[in-house]
Amino acid sequence: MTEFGRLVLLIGDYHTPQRKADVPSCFKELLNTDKIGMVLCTGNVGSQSVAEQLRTIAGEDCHIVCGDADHDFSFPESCVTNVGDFKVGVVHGHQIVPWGDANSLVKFAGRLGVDILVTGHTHRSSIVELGGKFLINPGSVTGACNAVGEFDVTPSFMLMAVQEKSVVLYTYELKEGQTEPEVKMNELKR
Amino acid sequence: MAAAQGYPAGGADDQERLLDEATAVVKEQAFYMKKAIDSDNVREALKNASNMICELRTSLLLPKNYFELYMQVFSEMQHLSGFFADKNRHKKKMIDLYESVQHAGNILPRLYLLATVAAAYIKSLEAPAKEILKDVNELCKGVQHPLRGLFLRYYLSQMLKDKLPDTGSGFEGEGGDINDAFEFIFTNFNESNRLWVRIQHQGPAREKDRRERERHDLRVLVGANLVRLSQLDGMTMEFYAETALPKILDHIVSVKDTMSQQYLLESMIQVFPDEFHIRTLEQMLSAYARALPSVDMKPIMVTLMNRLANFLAEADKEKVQSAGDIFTLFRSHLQGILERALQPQGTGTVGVPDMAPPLEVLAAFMQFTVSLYPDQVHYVDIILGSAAELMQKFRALPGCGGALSDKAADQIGELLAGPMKTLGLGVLKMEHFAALVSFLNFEARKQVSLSMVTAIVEDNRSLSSVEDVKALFTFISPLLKDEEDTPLEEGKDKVRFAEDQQKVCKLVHQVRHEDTDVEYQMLTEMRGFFGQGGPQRLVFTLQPVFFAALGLVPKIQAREKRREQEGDEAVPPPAISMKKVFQFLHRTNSALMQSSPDIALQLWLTASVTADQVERATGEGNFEPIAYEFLTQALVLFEEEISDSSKQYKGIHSIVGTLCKVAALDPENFDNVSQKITRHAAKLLKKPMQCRAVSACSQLFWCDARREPKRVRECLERCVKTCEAVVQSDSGQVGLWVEMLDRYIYYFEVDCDEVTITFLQSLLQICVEHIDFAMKDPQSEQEAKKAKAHLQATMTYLKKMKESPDAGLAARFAELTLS
Repeated sequence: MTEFGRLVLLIGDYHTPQRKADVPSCFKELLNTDKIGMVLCTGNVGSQSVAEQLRTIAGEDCHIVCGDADHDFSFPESCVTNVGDFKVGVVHGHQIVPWGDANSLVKFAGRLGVDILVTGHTHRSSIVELGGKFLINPGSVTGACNAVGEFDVTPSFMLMAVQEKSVVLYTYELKEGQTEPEVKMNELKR
Repeated sequence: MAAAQGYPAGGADDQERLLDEATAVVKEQAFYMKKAIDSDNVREALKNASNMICELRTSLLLPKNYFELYMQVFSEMQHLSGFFADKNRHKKKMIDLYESVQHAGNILPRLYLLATVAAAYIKSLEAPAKEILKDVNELCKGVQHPLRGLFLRYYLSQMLKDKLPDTGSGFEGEGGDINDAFEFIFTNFNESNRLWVRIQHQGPAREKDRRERERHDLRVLVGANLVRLSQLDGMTMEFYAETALPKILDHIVSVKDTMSQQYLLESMIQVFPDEFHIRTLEQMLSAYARALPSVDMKPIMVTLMNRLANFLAEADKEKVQSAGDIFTLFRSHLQGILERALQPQGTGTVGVPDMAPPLEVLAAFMQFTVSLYPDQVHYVDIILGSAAELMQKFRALPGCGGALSDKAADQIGELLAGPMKTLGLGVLKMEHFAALVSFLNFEARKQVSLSMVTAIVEDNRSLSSVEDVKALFTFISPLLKDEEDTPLEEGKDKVRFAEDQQKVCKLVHQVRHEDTDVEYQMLTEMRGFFGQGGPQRLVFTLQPVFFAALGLVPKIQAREKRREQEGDEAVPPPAISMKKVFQFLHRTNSALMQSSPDIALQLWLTASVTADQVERATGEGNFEPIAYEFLTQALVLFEEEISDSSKQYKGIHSIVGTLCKVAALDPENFDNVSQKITRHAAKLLKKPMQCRAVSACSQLFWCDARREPKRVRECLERCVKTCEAVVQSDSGQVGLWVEMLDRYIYYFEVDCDEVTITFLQSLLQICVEHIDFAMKDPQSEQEAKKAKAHLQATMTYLKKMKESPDAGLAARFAELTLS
């Protein structure tokens, strides 16, 4: 259970150093905060050092699931955790075909019994509400190319703040040629 | 005074008692002395003062206690000094007074009294200051006991510091000039230093360490003379450079004592102003070269360099220019100073000289140079050259074998790291960089290589030519392949090895050039280097090369497009075509198939979608065979290398997910692949896995390439049959029914018209019945509960659909009954 006011970091698909050298430096500054109380990682960390870094952000409350490229790790396929009044599930998403399809993902959310399903794999950030569920994809934090060879990927991650019956999501994106991230805010109400 | 020649050895209690006794005598005699002064009785005053001073003849006190006693005597002597200066009271001619104190029976009180009178004598101006000073200085040579002599000298300098014929003082002229003032302090310094050095020989050899510590504590008694010199008003730049400094330096290097040289050379820098140092740098540096090899030059040089750097940073341009070429001065003397380390170190020490201290001096010089001359890149090379030369000479020493201490190796690392941070790849163009590196052992070379990699990655420096890649990769070869001296255990520490290799991988992403041809050449160059690393390194290094090359495909595509619009002149045709890149990807991934089939499978699939996308965009059939070839490779790999059933299950999803995104494949080829993978799905080890995998394969008839509702239905019906069989034999698997229901709902939602609402209705019914049944069996109750929760979620979802504000959607689900 995350304390009131603490933020949940949604992040994943690093693929470092296979597809990208590192997280953008402006993201690193943002992530260097003690306000994050929980980390939910959609997988594909790429290397042990990334997994270790994630664990230093929020200590015990760090949940990493197995991505399609995490061959050398023993992360679980999925996980379910409570954030405020919400049940949140995390799964990388390569297991659910067609990839990134809301109609399929919403079924997986039902199977896990969660209100919010966090997935990755497409490397495109998105927030979808369907059939009473929220489907959230924080994108790739490094802007790595995805499994279908798309290179025009914008680096992104999300911070989630839960207040009673509502969830506020902050999406940070580093657009091409920029040095500072853009922030979008979405409020989701049950 | 029985133990006059000995050295104090008593315990702390003894020392306290001795000090107390002496203090009592000093107090008593001082009392009578002051009484005599009050009655203007010169004779009595001298007698009591003499008795008091006699306490300083002791050899039993430790230096720090002797110092305390001295301070007491000194403060009492100020009464006598005041009395001497007051002619109206003692009513004697100064010359007579000066003569009369010399009748004291003992030499030590005699000389203390003489120094006291001398101050009053000079003040009275009854005789020229220079003559009195010379006389006292000479007479004081009479005390040669190191500790007693040293303190007498200190007394002399304290009493006479304001009685010198310094420039502008009242004693100048007939009393002499700055030369006399200097000569007096210099002689005193000279004598003090010699006495101080001799303290080490006073007493048994076994106590030498303690004695040396105590001697060190007394160093300020010598250093005070340098402070006095610096305070002389006549100490102009000219006088310093031409007269004072040569004498002082000659003296310092002539006294062959490490502690003395170490302390005094450093004090000189602290005491005299920086402007003087800049003017006399050459003299200072050449003196350093003459210092004992055992003197640690690092603190001295670092102090000097820091002071000069600060001074020059604040000085105006004119001053800096007039300072001349400091770098060249330093550099020309440095070699001599450094090579002191190669000389045999005194007696008794055998073996290899330690190279750490001279290398530390060079590292400090490097820092100094980089901060003072940031633009003079070739200076850096010169310093590296000095280090290499020094190491060369070290290697050539007989019997040393070139073995370097860890500390010395660290210093070389330091020397190399500084310029790497500021110059990045530029250091590789330096003549002496590689030469210096070659003196390091494997581990140290690897560390330097890692620092280089980190410097490039953290500063995000681009690699922008094949030459860059060649130079860098040749340099970091300890990371890239097994060298002659690579230890056998390299790679045994898996975590560390992985970290190192992953750092290397980051370099691939620093390849940046606007010309795709150049980027390709750089990547093939890297691939060549990585190829020498063996399978344990290739597992790491091939992936980044693969993805970087894959990234060239959309770039070349964009280039071709621009060429079409703007013409060949504006955008030259690429020498390396997309086809060439795909061939490169093929070769690269083939090398991974055996050692890492999991990775290779993914790479084949990603490459095939990329080729398919190019085919979609160009539509000329050139890339369809490539996409198909990659898919075929993926299938072959799947069949031959992946035997673990959970990996097979994962692989099927990867292949199906990929095929869903493929659109330009020849229909026959598509069918071929999709049929094969569906067959594999149906043959998975466990039935529930089969059911889920085949259900995923149904997607192959409903994707970008296909829209075949009938075959979707047929595929799903097969799944339902499998599901029925599975749940019949194990009602714990009842959740599978709800998954089937979900899949049917999905197809109903996406308008696959062979999947009708009737199917949903009957599947709902089946789920309810089977779950109820499974609930009754304690063996399957747990799983049944889970299935029930899942079914509940699905029902809630369907309810939402029925109640959707989207009228069309609500209508589609209207007929469904949710009881």
